[in-house]
Amino acid sequence: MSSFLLVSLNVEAILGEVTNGQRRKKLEEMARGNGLSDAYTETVTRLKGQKGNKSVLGLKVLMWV
Amino acid sequence: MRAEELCHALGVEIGSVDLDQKNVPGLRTLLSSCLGLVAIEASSSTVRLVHFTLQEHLLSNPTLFHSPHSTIAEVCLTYLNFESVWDLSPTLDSALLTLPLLEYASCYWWKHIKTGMAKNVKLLALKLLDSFDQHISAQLLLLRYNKNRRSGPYFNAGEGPRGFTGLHVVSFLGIVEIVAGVLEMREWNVNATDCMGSTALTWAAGKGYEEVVKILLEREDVDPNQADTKYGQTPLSWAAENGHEAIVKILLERGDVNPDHIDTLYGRTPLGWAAEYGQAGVVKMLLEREDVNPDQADT
Repeated sequence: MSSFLLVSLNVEAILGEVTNGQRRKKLEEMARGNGLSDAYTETVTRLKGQKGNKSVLGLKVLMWV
Repeated sequence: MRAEELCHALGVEIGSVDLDQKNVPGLRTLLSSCLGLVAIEASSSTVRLVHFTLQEHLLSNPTLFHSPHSTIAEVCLTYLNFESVWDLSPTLDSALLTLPLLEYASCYWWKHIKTGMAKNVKLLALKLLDSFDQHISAQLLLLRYNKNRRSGPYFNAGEGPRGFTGLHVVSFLGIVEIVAGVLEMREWNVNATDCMGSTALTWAAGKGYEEVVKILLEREDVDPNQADTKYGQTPLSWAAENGHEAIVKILLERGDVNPDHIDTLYGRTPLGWAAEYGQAGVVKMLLEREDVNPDQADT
């Protein structure tokens, strides 16, 4: 479960970049990173960067659950 | 947490006097805003973090949320103080269908203030506690208590929570953080009995909340010997039965507490109760007293 989770979070993060160059850079960062913890940090950062109240909502959900 | 509970929790606007259904987010929006970190359990419609390691990750980054417990307490208490919730009859069962957060808020608001609370959260709590025995959350809390009690129900749900005041509930749950605030809030009869025949001191002594016992005993008008009307046991008797040594000590040191009171239902002294339940420390303390008869049988 946790290895699939990592892959899915990482794919989302790569697709979050807009150019092929940035995507490649992200991929290289991931190869160096230490797995899930980095992926979580990355995802939470993306979550906080969502537009409007979506970021507020996302953080609140994480707090309650 | 169930999905509809969470949606309602996120739809509560702090400072508002009633729930606005338009502010309750949809489940899909809610899930998509979490970018896959939160999943829904299809079988139980429970919302959970996608993996337990995420919980560990979030706990190791405590700065992510700003005083989360106080914030959750604020939402729970705002919800409980909604006008439409105050309007509910305390014994109404069907309220849970239209107000999914009601049960969670009723049973857990107090746990979230244990790590400290903002001033407005305290005000919301005091507002709830002011007429607590007329509020549906008193009923829900006592129903939960019945359910968790191994020796069977103690609270008669059909009769409702009448008499189970704010002072009773803070003593019942040991919410030492707001006992002083509740006592100052208005003139209380500190010796009043609730729907289960207990006083505030009975609850605090029986459940082992030493700090609450101390605060209650500071009141000049408290009767430290007042027995509950169900079993006729004094606070000392309850503390002895449950082995709360520190409280037994405090009560015995007062000088105005009868150490050998015989209760009405079982005709048993505090020593009899402590012995029956194997509370060795309490038995020792009571046997050191000359005014305790070690041979007193049940009457």
